Amino acid sequence: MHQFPRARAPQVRRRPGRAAARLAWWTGWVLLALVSMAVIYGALVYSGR
Amino acid sequence: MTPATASLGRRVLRHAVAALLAVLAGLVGAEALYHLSVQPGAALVASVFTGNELVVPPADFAVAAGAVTEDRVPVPVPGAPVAYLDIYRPEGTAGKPRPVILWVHGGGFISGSAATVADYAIMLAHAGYTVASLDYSLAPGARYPVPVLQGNAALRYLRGNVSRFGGDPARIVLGGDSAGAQIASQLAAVQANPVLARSMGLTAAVPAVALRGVVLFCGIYDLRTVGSTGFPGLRTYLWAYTGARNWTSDPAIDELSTVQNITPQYPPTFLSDGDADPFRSQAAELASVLQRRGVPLTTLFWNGTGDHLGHEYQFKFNLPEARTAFQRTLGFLATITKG
Repeated sequence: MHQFPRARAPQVRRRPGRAAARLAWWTGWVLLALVSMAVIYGALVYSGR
Repeated sequence: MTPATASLGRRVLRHAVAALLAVLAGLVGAEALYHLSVQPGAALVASVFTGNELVVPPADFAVAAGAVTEDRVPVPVPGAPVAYLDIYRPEGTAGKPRPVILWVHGGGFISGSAATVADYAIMLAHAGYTVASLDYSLAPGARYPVPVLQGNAALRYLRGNVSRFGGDPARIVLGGDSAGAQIASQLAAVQANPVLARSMGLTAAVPAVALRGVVLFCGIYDLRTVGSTGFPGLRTYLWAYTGARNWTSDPAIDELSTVQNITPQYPPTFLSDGDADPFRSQAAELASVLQRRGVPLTTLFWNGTGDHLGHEYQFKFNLPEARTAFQRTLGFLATITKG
């Protein structure tokens, strides 16, 4: 009796360090938002408007 | 376009959009924070003040410092937190009682302390005065009129107790710098203007004859016009002090504006400001009102210095103009405290 080859589970190819890169990407933008906020807030307080 | 170029283009676009969104989020967050609460701004400005040396003493300061003693006394205040007085006097209490100066420090109502003007108080004490420097409660923790109540209680305390420190309770002078000049000017108005005192629920702490004069440096005296000075951080100071986001809508604006409360009984006044201080126009406005009411006035306004005399210039003794201001202040004090 012919046996079909067992189907292999699809392999998710995970590149090493990808999660870390994604975390760094998001952290960078959050930091940029916070720095922007601090600079703009300081300018608002200084200007006194 | 090669696939590689197209991919690079998509990545650049993605980063640019993300950067724009991050800056926009920062803008929205900053605006929201700025309009929601005065606390962060007050803390920010106070930290800037704390990092700066206010008084730059003269080279021979050690001589004065070595010849002056200091006491710290609490002053109970009805309906407000306890205030403190740092009292400086020349070594040795024998001899004729000395005139008394009650000094109110600056700091935008939100920072500073009696200690920040200690060197200046020591120099005045070394010149022959008993100097009481008021440690009042700061905004936004303590709002208007708390410092004025504390100042009035301090005057009452000095009237009753200053002889213990070699002071003459019949010869008291009020002085202040920056926000302290606003408080001192209002405190003098409370003593000289019964209508203002009544409206604030206060009674004068010293009789008019005992309040010999007022020394005011770089202060604000008209809250209706001070907005046009463009002084950095002004909104934060006045929001913290009055509790009103827009101080011009504060019901106490006329109480706070000394120009509205000057009567002919206002004590003789020494008024000075630097030519680069945005508050210079405030001093000019007060001078004009004092002259119209016939109040004896001595002014020291600078011109032609190349606009290098900024806010609180009078404390920078490395500047010749500050040394001149000190000598002119001593001259004014000697004149008004005679007898």
